[in-house]
Amino acid sequence: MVRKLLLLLLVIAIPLTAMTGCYDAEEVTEWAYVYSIGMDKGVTDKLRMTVQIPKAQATSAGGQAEGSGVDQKSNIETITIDCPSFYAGVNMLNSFVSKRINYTHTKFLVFSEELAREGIDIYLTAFLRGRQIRRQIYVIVSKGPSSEFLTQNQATLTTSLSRKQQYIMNQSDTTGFYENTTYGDMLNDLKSPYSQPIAVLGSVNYGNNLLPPDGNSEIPFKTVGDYYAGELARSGGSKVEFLGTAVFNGGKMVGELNGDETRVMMMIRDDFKRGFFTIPDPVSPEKAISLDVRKQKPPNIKIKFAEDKVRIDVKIFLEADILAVQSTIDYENKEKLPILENAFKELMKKQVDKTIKKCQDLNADVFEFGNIAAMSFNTVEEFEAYNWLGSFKDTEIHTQVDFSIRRTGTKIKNYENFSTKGKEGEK
Amino acid sequence: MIKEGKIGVQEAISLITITIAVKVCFTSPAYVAAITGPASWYMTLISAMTAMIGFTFLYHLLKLFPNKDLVQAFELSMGRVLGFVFTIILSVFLLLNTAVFVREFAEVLKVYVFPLTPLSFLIIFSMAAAAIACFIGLESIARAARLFAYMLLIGFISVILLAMPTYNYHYLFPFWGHGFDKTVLIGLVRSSFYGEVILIGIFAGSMQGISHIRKTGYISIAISGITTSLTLLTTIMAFNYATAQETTSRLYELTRIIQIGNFLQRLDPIFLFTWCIGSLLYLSIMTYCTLTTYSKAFRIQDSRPLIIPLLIIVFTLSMLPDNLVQVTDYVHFLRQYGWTIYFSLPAIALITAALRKKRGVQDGA
Repeated sequence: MVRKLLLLLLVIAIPLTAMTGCYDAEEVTEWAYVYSIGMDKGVTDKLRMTVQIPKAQATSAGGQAEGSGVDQKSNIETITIDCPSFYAGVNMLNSFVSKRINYTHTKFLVFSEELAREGIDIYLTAFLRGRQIRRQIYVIVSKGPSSEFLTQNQATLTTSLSRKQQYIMNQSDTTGFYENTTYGDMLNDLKSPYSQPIAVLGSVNYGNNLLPPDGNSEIPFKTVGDYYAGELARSGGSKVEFLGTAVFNGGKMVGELNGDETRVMMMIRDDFKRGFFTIPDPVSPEKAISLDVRKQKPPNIKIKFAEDKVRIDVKIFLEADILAVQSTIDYENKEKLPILENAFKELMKKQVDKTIKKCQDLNADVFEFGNIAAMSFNTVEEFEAYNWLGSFKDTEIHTQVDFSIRRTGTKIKNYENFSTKGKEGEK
Repeated sequence: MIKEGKIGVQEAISLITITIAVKVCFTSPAYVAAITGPASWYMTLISAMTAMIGFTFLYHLLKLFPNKDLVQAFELSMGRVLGFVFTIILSVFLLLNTAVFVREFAEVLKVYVFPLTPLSFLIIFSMAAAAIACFIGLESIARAARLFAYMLLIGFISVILLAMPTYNYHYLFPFWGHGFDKTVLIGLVRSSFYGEVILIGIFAGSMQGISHIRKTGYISIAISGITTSLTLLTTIMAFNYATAQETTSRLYELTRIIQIGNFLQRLDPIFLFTWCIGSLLYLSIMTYCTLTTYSKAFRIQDSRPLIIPLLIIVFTLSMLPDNLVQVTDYVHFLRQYGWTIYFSLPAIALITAALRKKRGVQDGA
């Protein structure tokens, strides 16, 4: 009995003393957790690396009430260094950063457009071997240097930068302006013949696009997503914005999609969840109609392999609620509702065709048609030999949009406006 | 004398299933992704079915010699000398498997969790746990397996379910992988993955009759086949055939990409717990069976004094490979050709017994 008890104590004592510390024991306070990594072309060395590290008081004050007046920018240390490679840079950083650099909580991996156009496959494939690098890091291509992008990437409306980074990427689900592409997604696309990689397009916006009033009252409205990152006419808020998609062929960036085109891409990839659309009123085109558009069901994609040509049939299914109608036209009426539905269908079809054509010209299947194409091949060898990605530009693609308006919001009728001239709609 | 005791069907199924299935947490899935591509998930089902056929030889051999274990069956069927040779071959093979497994476990642990801890430290402590388990005996190992089986199963199913948003079923195509014929062939030879089912024969004396042995064998292979297939299926859907073959531990990576909302993410520490429990159970039972077969071959009554020397040998063998590349080579060699030991020895013994018309004494005879 005594021997058994001793043995039991030994079983408990050995792991308790040996496994809970020793070699790999590190206190949280000994780490410098990197929130974001930036990559630019180097000047004095191959690579210019930027990291964002929260200062100790910033991390410990994570639970403070929001809007406490703390200067967020001063709580984040943004460090830029020229280095030969990423991991060499990590070591170089520790020649002046007292804490050990840790990437387990990194949310953003930002490449400058210049570097992305040269090719980032060498960095993408190299990173993963480090155990701290997770596949869930969001990959962003910044228009302009990533060092500047990260300097301006500060917490707004929240005390925590990491929370802001997570929340802003979640906005992809409510706007569809960018696909929240992760490092793992990029690797999957880069390493296989199914589709081409994409990344979120980001940019610094200093507010220079917000022009002063010039008295011109006849400004035509643009569609909601007819912008690339950095082009929004705005002031205030975060200085960085995310809008559009960087398109890659292998590891090289070959083009960009704006917000509208990104939405189309996401619809075909079955990643689009919802977004507000503004279209010209089909009856009164100078006025706008806003729709809350959602995916109705996954797209129907069929690929037929003929001897000389491949034909793809794409049908997208959308539904919407009416958000706002500027005119007094009664689209809640069953005779007029189809007018609005058809107008949106037509616009969307044009947008879909334009986006597909653009990607075919870029020679980049970012729609994941290759996923469907793979089902027509028996073996990996046949699929790889066919070179789907190479033949995508020559495929014949036919599109269809199915669209229904489900609800009209809190109004079930749009009555006329009155002025001294009587009914506004009769003018 | 190590206490063998008696174990029930549930204990035995838990033990054998964990011993077989835990190997899927390491480098094997990456290797099978490289050789079978998207077809790996059903390739392993072919392996499981082949292993069932292999187990049938063992079952019939044990049926011929009721109340005898595999070592005794070898001797009764082949004679003292050849029986001894077969037992020693089996013992050495189990020893090699244990050494390669503990090294693979320690290497993967070092890659993902303890990068600064010396390899020898990780191996010594893993083997220390196995040594204590050997001292305590089979019954305790089996009960521990039974206790942890539900926990491991819940952990496994949770990971599979929570990772669902990352799955893309298109990655299962091209459906025939690198060709149906190649998939079937690899499926047949990789039946060695399920070879640990032979352990039932080693502790057959602790089981309560041949029907329990039959149930344990087939059910263990079926459950571990399903869990292995599910792991390969889900990880292929998460990573596709190209990146899946690059990943050191596919299942561990799967837990790392779980992200449900802003809160539910970074679940790898939970998986780590189940991973280590399963691995330590593997090491315990494999060490125990190595020890038992060796002791029985040399008719050593009390095998406890052999535990520490055996551990030293396992440790030494496990430290022989220079690097992880060599370790994975050994692992894949064992998975590819292990069937020649696991299933051929009982098959030869069975055929010999049939030819020599050897039979054990039936109950009540």
